[in-house]
Amino acid sequence: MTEFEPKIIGFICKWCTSAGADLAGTSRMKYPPNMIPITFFCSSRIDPQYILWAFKNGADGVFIGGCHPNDCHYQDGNYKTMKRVPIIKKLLNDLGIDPERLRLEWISASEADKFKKTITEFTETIKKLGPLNINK
Amino acid sequence: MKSFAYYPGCTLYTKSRNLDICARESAKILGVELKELETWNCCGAIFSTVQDDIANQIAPIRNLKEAQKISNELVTLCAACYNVLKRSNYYLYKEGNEIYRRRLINYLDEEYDGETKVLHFLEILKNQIGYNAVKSHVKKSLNGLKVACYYGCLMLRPSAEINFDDPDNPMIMDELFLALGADAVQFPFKSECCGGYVLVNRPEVATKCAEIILESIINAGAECVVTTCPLCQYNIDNQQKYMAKQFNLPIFYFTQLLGLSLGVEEKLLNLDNHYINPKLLLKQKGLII
Amino acid sequence: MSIEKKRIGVFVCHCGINIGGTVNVPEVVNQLKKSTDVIAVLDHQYCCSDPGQNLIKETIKKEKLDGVVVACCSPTLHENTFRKAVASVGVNPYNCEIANIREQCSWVTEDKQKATEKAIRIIKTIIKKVQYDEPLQPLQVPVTRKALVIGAGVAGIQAALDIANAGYQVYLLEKNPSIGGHMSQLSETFPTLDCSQCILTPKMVEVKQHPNITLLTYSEIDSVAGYIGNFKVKIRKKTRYVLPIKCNGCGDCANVCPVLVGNEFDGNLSQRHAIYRPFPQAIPNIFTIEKKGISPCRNACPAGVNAHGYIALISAGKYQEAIDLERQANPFPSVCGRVCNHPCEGDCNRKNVDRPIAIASLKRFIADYELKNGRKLPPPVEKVKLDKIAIIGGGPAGLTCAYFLAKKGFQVSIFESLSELGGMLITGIPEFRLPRPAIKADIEYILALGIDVNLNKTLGVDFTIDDLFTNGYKAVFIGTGAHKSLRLNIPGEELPGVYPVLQFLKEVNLKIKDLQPLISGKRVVTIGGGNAALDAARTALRLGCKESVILYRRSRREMPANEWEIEEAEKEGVKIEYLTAPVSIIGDNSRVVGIECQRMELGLPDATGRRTPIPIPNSEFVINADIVIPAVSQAPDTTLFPELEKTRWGSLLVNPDNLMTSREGVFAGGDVVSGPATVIEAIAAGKKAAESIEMYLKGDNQQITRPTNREIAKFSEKEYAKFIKQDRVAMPKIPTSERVSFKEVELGYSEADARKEAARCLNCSVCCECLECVKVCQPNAIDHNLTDEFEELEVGAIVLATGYELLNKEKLGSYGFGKLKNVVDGLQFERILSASGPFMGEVRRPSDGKVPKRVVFVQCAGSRDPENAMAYCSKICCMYTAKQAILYKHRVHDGEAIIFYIDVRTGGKGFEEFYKRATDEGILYIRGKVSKIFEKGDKVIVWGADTISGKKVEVEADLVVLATAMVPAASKEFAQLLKITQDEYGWFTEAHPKLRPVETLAGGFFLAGACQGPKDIPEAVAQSSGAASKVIALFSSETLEHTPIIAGVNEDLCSGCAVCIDVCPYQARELQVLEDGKKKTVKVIEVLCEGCGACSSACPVGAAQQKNFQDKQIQDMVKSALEK
Repeated sequence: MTEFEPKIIGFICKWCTSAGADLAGTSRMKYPPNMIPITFFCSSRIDPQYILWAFKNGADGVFIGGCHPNDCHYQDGNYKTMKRVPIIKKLLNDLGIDPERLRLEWISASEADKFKKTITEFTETIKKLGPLNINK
Repeated sequence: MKSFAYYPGCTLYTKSRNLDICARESAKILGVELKELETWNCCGAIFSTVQDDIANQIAPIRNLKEAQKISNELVTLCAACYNVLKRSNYYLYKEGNEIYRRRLINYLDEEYDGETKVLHFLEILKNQIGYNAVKSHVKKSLNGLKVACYYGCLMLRPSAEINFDDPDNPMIMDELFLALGADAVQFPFKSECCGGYVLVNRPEVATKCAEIILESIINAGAECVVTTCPLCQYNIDNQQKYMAKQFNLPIFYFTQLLGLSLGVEEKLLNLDNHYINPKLLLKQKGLII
Repeated sequence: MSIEKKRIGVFVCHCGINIGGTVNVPEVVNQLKKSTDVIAVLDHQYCCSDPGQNLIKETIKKEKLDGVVVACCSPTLHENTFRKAVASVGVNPYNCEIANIREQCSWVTEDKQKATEKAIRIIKTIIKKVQYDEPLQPLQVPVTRKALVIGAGVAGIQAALDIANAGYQVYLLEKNPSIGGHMSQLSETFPTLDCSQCILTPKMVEVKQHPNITLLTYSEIDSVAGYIGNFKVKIRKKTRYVLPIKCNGCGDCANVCPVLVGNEFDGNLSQRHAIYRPFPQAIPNIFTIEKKGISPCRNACPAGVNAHGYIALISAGKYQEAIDLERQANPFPSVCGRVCNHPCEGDCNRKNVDRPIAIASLKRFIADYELKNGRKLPPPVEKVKLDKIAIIGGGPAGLTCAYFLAKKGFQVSIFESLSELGGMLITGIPEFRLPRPAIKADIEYILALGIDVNLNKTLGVDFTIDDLFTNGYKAVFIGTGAHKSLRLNIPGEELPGVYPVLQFLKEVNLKIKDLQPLISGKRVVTIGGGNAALDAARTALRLGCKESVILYRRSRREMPANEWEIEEAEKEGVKIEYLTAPVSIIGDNSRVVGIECQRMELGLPDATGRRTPIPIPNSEFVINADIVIPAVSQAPDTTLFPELEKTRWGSLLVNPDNLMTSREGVFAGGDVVSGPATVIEAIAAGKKAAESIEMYLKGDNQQITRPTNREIAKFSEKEYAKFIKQDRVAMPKIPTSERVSFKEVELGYSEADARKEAARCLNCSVCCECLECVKVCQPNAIDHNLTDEFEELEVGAIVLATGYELLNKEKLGSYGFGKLKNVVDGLQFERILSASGPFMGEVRRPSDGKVPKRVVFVQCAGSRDPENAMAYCSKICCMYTAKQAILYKHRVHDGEAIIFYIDVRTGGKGFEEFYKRATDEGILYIRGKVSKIFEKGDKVIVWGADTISGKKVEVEADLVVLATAMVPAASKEFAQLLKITQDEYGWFTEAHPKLRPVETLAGGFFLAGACQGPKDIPEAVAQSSGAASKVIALFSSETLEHTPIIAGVNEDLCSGCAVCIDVCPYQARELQVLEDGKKKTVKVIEVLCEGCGACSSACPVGAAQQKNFQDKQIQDMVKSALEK
């Protein structure tokens, strides 16, 4: 059988993580293509329910990328995210979804390499965890 | 009593017996045990930078593996052993060395997880026992003795991999001797190469290197030198006989003076095992009778 | 939200092979064609090209599209291109979105098939987004047409001038006292060798005179709020303690300032005063006082004596000023200089280097010096105040109180029970420690102020406190001290030959009777561990006793007496029996013969923190003694004033805030309140009482306000390590052989000694507040009480010109950690070369001022060195090293210049020619890196490699110049304050490395000069003009387009819970009451909203929705990103 290819949604912020992803591209770095990016202005726009939707609609993993603490383009948006994510992880746990399937990273516009590493690692993690099969 | 796995290495069983014995004795006094590996083999002697030189790498790794029977903290004294063991471990688990690691592990009869931490006895003294504690055990203060702490190259470089102390201005030994009451003089060649490596095929070069170092030590006003490396000790002690200038600088292992001030009995210090007789100085300082 | 389905067209770009090479574009097109969401799907080699854009426009017209997706490169590149294009044919630009299938897909994926799949998914999500995108119109916001330029080096100056010349207001902010930056430190500039100052100063002056430029020097950014076109910036104007409007830059203040510290403008190769002007051409041409809190010595003194002040004045040879300053806080310089326990020395920071400054000895010096050189007593103070005040007790506390009240013009009378003034000073302290003349000197001075003295008047005998009040005294101060020796309470204490210590000392000191015959040849045993005990024992020796023994029940560590006095006593031959306590005094009923003692051991610490002695059972033994002097402790004799409340220790009870006793108008201080304590504490009490009494008589009884606690100045470990060790000057003493008489033991410093000792002071707080500068400032521009001011600016654009620093030499271990005196960095050598520099343009070396005959220049010191320092090339070093070598050769003709280099990089107009010139002038270039630099004698040895001959090189140099790496001056904190991104080294990152080099990603911020990366002067200036032109362009229109992708509120859903108001970082939301007057909802202040969307995710009911990022949208985007 063919190897399991996880479906991953990436909610990333425009100023840092998306810019970092662009730089990874410009520097022709390579990483698994499993993550489909959805870019917001700020990670604080990522409504917890989006993450649940993603899992509900068959995502095996959700990645969230924002600016480093203190570097938020909108002053403190990433702190809001920083507070939300752990709570969501608890919630996922209660729902029987391994919190490992949700990952938050601060990736700045200059950290192409970190972006590559993170996505590669995360894809690996999800591969190890296997499909979520939430609707089965 | 906390005990560590202890790897003496070949030289400490032959030429540098005093380095070894004094360390064990001092450790006892300080309330830690150096448990020698049941079986151990050559550390590899020189770290091979050739990545596929498997044979040369297995030697250190076997010792590291062996250590885990006693503890995950492996203590060693010889600068060369320290250098080789620590770097082998570093390379083995360095990112991107997976294939190399697999190949190497295949030669071992059992798995090795790289968990063994290679520590120098000085690190134990400073970080685990603490220099203040050492101070509190001092029987004979080295007060008034001017020592030059000479580190040599192997303990400090390459700094990224060894990560022992500042390669340009190491202080860990100086701090120890300050704690023992001695006066640690500062000189620019703490971590210069003593030339020991080429002693056999280019003795004149080795002598020259040693001479430069000893000269600056004398100028700095030191009365003796302490070192951790058998190679250095032999080279800068023995080669003095071929030098134009007669420095007459006694060259100690740091453990000898440590032992002396902690009250290890004199015959264990093995003070006759020197080219430059150190007894005169020690007598003059009232440290031995 | 129900909108009819959009007619969406998708355009997939091949971008040559950039996308097409990995993503199978035809396949993508086919797949998308199947989707029901799209009307048209086309592809093109280069959508961004004219033909590409035309294709899009044509298709829009043909298919009547109202939504467009372009699948191509990152939106940061071409979003605008395509939005303009679609707008030109009537589609709302915000209904055109980019699907990034290049940077985030084709370029990062190897597997073609997977890349293709990913591309399709990405495009589909964007199609969904467009599906719901609303047609939006950009908001128009007004622009504040004023600019702020941060950093006034040559770059900042240029930017400011360009903007100002275009007719706009500019604020030019500089953190240093003067503008000019590093360029003002340079001697000459390459490749033309014209004088740096000469070309910079005119520009500086122009800035100062420009009507459109407001200079904000010595100021820092406190906070930045707002957005492009409308920033609000809060500025902290650090105080100079000098009023700019009044200061005329005459420099009289600096001439009298006694403090000398390293001059950073000269790279600390010279010294400057605490009040200073960085350099003569400084702009603004005014002075600045540097302060770092309060010096620890001054802070430690109970009486608040400004020790730092008089030490500095002594070092400057201003002895009269020094003692005058001393007397402002303490009228007993001569006494305290000898017997003070000097807590100041205990806290002196110098102890972290070697040993504290001998502050007391210095104090004694100025006191003695004044006497020796014909002291002028002060004229009596005119009695401007009518109130009479009585002081009971003529000891240090009383006299001090009298002194300060008299100075204020009160009528003060002292009542003393003895026949002379001085209290414990004359009765308690023997002459060999404190000679009578020394005490008289101070008392004379105090009385000179006009104080009425009544001797032999004992309270309770000759008068009562009531008498005083009835005789018209308005307030009374009690300073009667503690003159009662406490008993040992052991058998035999009443035997003849037992002398209470105070009685003994008093009889000797006041020569009441001659004890010589009584003591000489006898065994004297003193019991106790305080100074009194030691004084008694030492006195006994001088009276010729056979032996003098001290019994102390604790060990030496606990002994309350001063360490140095114990040492002296032992030198003189006093025997001290530690851990020994008397059990009983044995006598043969006519006189003492011995003491039965007991050995002690130390138990746990008691309340005082000292370990309590515990008797060792049957350790009793007998010491022979003829005279026993109990000196365990003293207590005040409070039987004198029965009507006043006492503490349970029998001392007077006072209100700690104002020292008033239980009786209105009666104050008390000194030992009578504290029990036996130090002289300086008594003085402090007297001083405090004087203040309180003045307040009391003024009629306000509330506690006196003390100066607010200031930060105590200290240094970092690193800084301490930098100071050169130099032990304190020894106090000359008479040999122990001569210590049979009562001659004073300590002889005091000579003038030379004092100057030398005072010079050891580290000037912890820099300014010592001796206030000499205030005295000489004619325009009265100096005010030491000024504080920082804040100002809020409104600007539309901000130019960053924060520039660079040089890498700290300490980071370069193999080059000597910056410890070697004759290893300097590039800027320091610029100062050495400079005509206005530390050596007035003569090339000399720091260590000994000799002219260096061989100078080695080390390029790439910390640059191009990823292992140890910076990976990048600092760009300017090749050229300035060549320049410095040439200049050196011009100054020192027989000098030899050697340059170690890795490569010589001469990319620049006239650079290569300049380099050629350097080689032609006989400067030796050695290609290779320097491995080690160290000192040998007075030479500096440089070890390097010559990579051309492949040989090791050793050079004996007189001076080494390190071309240390350029590093950004702006800190991470600063960058975060402004929300500007930095690269890994801290250089500010430009919006695009090639196409937008002077802009940042944050709108309204522009970059000028070296803050963006290493640059030479011409480049920095050029970039500044570039930044300026961007600002001018921004200001050219009155309004500015603001993205309409901002928050919205669905008023039907909004419950007015106001959660969103708290999360909004821009205060862009507020509650409103709807017309019907019932319902409350939130409304958005659109121009303030930056569109982060935090509110939308916070809203519990989904009423807050960010435009074009609506929940529904995201939901579908997520779905389509995941669908099978």
